[in-house]
Amino acid sequence: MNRRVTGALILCVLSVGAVATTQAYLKLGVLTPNGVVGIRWTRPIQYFVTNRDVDGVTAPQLQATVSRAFGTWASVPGVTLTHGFSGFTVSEPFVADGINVIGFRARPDLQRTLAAATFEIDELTGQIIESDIFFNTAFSWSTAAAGQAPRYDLESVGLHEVGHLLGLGHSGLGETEVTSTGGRRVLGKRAVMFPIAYPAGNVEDRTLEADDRAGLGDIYASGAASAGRGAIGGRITLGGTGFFGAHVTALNTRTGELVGGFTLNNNGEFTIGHLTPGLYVVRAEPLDDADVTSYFDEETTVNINFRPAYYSSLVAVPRGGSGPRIEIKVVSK
Amino acid sequence: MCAGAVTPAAAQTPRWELGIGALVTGTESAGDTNASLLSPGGDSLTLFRASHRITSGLGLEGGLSWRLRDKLRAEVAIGWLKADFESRISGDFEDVPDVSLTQGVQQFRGEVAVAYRVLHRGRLSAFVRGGAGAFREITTDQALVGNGASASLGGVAHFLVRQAPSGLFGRLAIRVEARAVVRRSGITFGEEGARVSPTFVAGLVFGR
Repeated sequence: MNRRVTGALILCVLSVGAVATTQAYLKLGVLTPNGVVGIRWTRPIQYFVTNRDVDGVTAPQLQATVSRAFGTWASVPGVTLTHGFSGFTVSEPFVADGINVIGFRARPDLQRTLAAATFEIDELTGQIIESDIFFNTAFSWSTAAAGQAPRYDLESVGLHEVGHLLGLGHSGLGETEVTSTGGRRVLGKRAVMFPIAYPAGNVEDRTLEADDRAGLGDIYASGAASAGRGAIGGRITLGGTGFFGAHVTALNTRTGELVGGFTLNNNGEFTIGHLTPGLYVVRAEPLDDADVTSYFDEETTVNINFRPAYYSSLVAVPRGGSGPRIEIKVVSK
Repeated sequence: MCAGAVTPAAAQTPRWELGIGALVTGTESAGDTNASLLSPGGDSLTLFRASHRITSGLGLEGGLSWRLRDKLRAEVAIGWLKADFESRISGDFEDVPDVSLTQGVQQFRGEVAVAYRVLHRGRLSAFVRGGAGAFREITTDQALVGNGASASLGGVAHFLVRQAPSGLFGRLAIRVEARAVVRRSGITFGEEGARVSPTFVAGLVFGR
């Protein structure tokens, strides 16, 4: 019988869970006896939507919004995703009942959590068995086409959570500042999967960015689609020693696309896949624009005490492979 | 036919010529790319700016030309050159000092052209030359390969050094050429459309 593990990922500042991470963007993974295995769906995704209306959003509006979010992810070129709405349900999200439930819940105790996704995973294969999403009614919500401050845009947050449901972790492509209340305010970001949402009323996160597309493509793209893409791999070192948790960004000099990844072992190794072939500028920086726990387990030690640095050359990314591995040498702050 | 004099006054250009020379290309500006985030207000927040150029290249070119008519010649040329793609990084959001990043590239090119003599005075001949061809670019780490097409227009000057009355390579001249080369595709920084670079070739031609 398969062992199962349940974890949770939460949008906005806080994330919790026992799910390990693997490779770039991040993709979510689970630690198996044979190492970290990326989690993914291997069968069509059928989901239910809770049949309760909440302030500002009816159940049919929630269903339509979730359907659009799935459709947006499914439209990533080269990706094959089969998904479908199974009906409305009285079941609650975050209950291990064998069905995927998406709906609202009142969690006033999670003061900075807009929404979250949970998983039930086959720990041996990485197959996702069940995943639920909840939106926190401690916040007010809107499905208005142009947004409706001070309500949060359900489609933007839903797109982020469906990204988790599909196996993506958080992206590091964003800059924030700490607010007087101890939270963080987004100065700018370039990924729907960045862990901190735009302010209420903003609808920018209804559109996937290159980092989001690369992450999903890395999990679900067909072989033919992957063959047209390339990768960058290498190490980040401090005093000659690799380390975990450095954020690495790659800028395509032709398209301007930004895609990020992380060093994910103590050798400081990273891989950023599913890139458009071309010449890239690669930059390493500390993961200091969101809580580290938004990305990794609480037990994980992440070094953020180094200065950002660029790789000394432009990096050529070929179609269907990668160039020579690179090493970015950073220095302490 | 070439005349057998040291300073020929022949109306015809040489029957055939074989040449080799050094090839120099000018620097090309290749635009800018900003690494930018999207702020809540919809504006861009620039993480860093990258200004691109392709540095001056140095290489070799060889060619064969033959006379079609009295003043009209056909040419086939092949060349190799090495240059650098260079990005100047500036304006880093977290104050990383400005830095230049490069990636070497080798270009292999071939071209067919016609040249028409517009001046013949003593040892000196001048031609206008136009051609079209193709090229293949390979980064120094051999990770990236790009193919493209090119066209060129320029002028050629021949200065006759020696004209022997006989012999397979009895004629020796210095050839100096300046062209504007228009290239499309290949490895690019994202420049839209054609790119123009000045190209200079200087070498020796042998023939009869």
